[in-house]
Amino acid sequence: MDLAHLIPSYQPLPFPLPVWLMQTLLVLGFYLHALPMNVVLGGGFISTALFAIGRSDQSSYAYRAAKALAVSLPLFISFAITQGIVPLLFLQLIYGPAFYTSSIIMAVPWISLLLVIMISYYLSYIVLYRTLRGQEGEKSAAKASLLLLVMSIGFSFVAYLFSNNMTLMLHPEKWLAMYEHSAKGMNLNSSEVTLIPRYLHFFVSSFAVAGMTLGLFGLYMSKKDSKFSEWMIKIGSRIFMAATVIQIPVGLWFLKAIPAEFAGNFLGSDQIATAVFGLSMALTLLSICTSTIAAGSGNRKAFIATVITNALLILSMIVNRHQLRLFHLNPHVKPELVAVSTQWDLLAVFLVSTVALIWYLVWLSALVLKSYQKPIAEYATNSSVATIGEVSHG
Amino acid sequence: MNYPLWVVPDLGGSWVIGIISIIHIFISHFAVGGGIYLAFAEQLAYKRKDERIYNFLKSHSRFFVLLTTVAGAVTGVGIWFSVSLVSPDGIASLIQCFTLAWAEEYLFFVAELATAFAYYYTWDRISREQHLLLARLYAIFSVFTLVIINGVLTFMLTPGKWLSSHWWFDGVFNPTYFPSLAIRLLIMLAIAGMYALVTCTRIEEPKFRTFMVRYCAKWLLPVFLLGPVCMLWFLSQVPHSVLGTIFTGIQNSGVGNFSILARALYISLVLSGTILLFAFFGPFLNPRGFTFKVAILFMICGFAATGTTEWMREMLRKPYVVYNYIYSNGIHKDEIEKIADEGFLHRGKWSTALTAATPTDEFHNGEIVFRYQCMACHTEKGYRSMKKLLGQRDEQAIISFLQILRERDPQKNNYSNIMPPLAANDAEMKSLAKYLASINTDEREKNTAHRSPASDHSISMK
Ligand code: HEC
Ligand code: HEM
Repeated sequence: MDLAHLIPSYQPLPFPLPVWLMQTLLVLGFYLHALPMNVVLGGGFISTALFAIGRSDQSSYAYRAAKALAVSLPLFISFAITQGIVPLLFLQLIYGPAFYTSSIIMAVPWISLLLVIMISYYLSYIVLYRTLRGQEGEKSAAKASLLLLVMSIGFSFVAYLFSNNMTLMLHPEKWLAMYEHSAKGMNLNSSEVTLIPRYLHFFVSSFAVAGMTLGLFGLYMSKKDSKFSEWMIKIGSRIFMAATVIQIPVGLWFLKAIPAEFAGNFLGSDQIATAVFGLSMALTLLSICTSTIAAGSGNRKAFIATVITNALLILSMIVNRHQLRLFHLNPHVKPELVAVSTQWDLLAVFLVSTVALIWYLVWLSALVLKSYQKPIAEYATNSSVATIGEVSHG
Repeated sequence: MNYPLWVVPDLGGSWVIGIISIIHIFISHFAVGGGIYLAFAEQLAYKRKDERIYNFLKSHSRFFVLLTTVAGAVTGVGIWFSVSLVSPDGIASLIQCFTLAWAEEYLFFVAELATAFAYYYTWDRISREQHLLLARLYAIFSVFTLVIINGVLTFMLTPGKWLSSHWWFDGVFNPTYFPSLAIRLLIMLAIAGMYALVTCTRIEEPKFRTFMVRYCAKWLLPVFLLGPVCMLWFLSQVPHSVLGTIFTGIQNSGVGNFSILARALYISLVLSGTILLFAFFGPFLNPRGFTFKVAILFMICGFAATGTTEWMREMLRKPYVVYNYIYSNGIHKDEIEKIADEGFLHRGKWSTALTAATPTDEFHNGEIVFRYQCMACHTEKGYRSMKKLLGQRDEQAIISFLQILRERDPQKNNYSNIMPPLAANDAEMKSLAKYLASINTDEREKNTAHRSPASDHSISMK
């Protein structure tokens, strides 16, 4: 079908970077968005459940694990939001003609998504600073559980809207009718056949990633409290394993839902797509094996192997997802036809700053993590006038 | 015309952006100014060896981190989302010119956020030297986010040499870059002071509260002392036609000579003056009487002043998104002439698609022209209501109005400083008139019922 008349033109300006570089940055950027976003999405539900399970005993492992997750959630939310900026920038640059259009068609839900994020984000802080402050007991645990549930439903809704737009942008043939149905932007792409399996694919993987995160917390605590650490690794690996096994039918459903031609591309017709897809499948099996070992024994090496396999697995899945987008959009949206005039000067500045930023973040994390291994009282109570005096001269 | 147009009834798309922006600006200016404030105040605590300041900062910083990292970050993304929905062509151009500047901004933003968290979570956990270092690093990073984004914001008003060179450097370091940077920094310090005043009023101990309230009030002074100078500097760099819009108003338009911009300028000055008086009589002369409620009132004034000032900045740029390059309705300036000859509806992908099925339906085509060319600033019945502005004009009078609006020569089109010229051929203009005439039928009926047409002067276009 020729839909060229519905694909808006690019701006009469050159691209500042070659398309392949922007695509790489898009994929990497989305990878860095997907990881914390998955922790938030799955972690919210998991800590809801753990608070409910451990509510009557604040020293139980379930309660402590729930609290560890809940305390870290605001940070992950912040990462997820900040890391969303990179893929957003490149998505708009390369696929703007499709993405702006689909966003406008579903404008009202799309813009309201931010309100939901804000409310859910504040809920995570309310749990931290209101509910879990002072006397902790069964009541506060139940309340935390409830608030986290509301927060998680909020984020699930946000993810649902994202999947809506990500699928709508791939289907120019739907646009005109939807816009004519509501030019006010009151549309959703909920009739899309791939929507539910695609959404579930994300949703289920978020439990796997959040399970990983629990295990990683366990790893961090291994010196302080080896028993609790082992428990966390086990439970984390179990969640991971269960989610990944469930992912198999969900993934098959998704594969069946996409147009047969594209599914064929992943299953042999397109060499690169097939190779990446094959790699993903191999990694899936591998991660199920390693996580089974870790889930049974709490073996740290097996767990670390799972973490690495999973990190690669997510990356290769994201490449798959990108390829699916290319299959859909290639006939319609052609970024490679836009002139390129690379801004080398800024690119150099950008690369140097990126390296500097990474170095800085490593330094900063080391500083913070180290400070949390000391008891808090050290500076609080010893803040004698002498210590203060020294600083003022320095 | 290139994209579908998001119809926002009553409010108008520009207000969707406007509301989110005003909130964001108030918070983000606090993020920058507040960072500087926290760094200086922490130093003060150590210098005066005053634990109370230290403890005050500890509690103030929670409020700071919660507000800036959550609402600040989300509304920032919100501006981007909303602009993408309302003027996709405009934002696409901006992003494409300044991709890497945007990317650089992102790096500083990450550094800023990470430092904010590190700073907040390490009170009493790291040495005081290190903590002060974090405060200072935060202040530096956040100033840098301003240094970059200010380039993009000022570019829109004064693209300067970029228009011919298309080099990002000319775009970022444009004529109003430095004056605007100075003004924003001053405002940021003032906003930081205002927020801190709110938390100060919560201090229990009267003497210490007095001390802190006075300290915070001082942060408002720089903007009042240096602000006017910077403003003059800024205005000296702004295109002359823009200045004309402020001071002479829109002559001969039904709006009258006293331009809305001038009105906004007065409101903003009056509000700022009120804040100054408040700052002097409140915290300075009577710090004890400076209560939480007063501090909140203060904030509201500050919020209103920020709102009007930003709104004015937006208005200054009208009718352009990027001055002299793209109009508010997404039409490039150099396209207008061609459109007048060849017609508008066939030029853009979506305007073509939306009218292809009904080539002879004048009313529908008129509505589409209206959406693309007028709805960037008007709504039918809500904000800047077409119904009200058209008044009692009938279809014929509307055509005369549109004929003036279509003139590209500013001598003949006295709206050229507030509205883009109408880009349409004769048939499209007639369709638009037909559609517009359907909006204000009530107004006309009111007129025939209550007044004789002879006394109606709103249709007398010169
Ligand atoms: C860049 C923003 C912008 C665009 C686009 C725009 N206008 Fe306006 N228009 C204004 C402003 C500002 C005023 C002054 C309104 C006021 O005082 O409230 C105005 C005033 C008017 C008035 C009243 C003028 C008078 O003298 O009575 C009419 C009628 C009008 N616009 C019609 C239109 C039509 C028709 C279009 C589309 C072809 C359009 N405008 C596009 C900004 C715009
Ligand atoms: C914190 C709440 C958020 C959640 C739960 C979330 C969830 C998701 C999900 C599930 C997807 C994949 C959708 C799909 O492909 O079907 C996605 C993609 C995306 N998200 Fe988020 N998101 C969140 C916040 C944000 C924010 C604030 C931004 C913008 C700054 C953002 C930018 C993006 C972008 C650009 C993509 C598409 C990337 C691509 O297609 O390459 N996200 N998000």
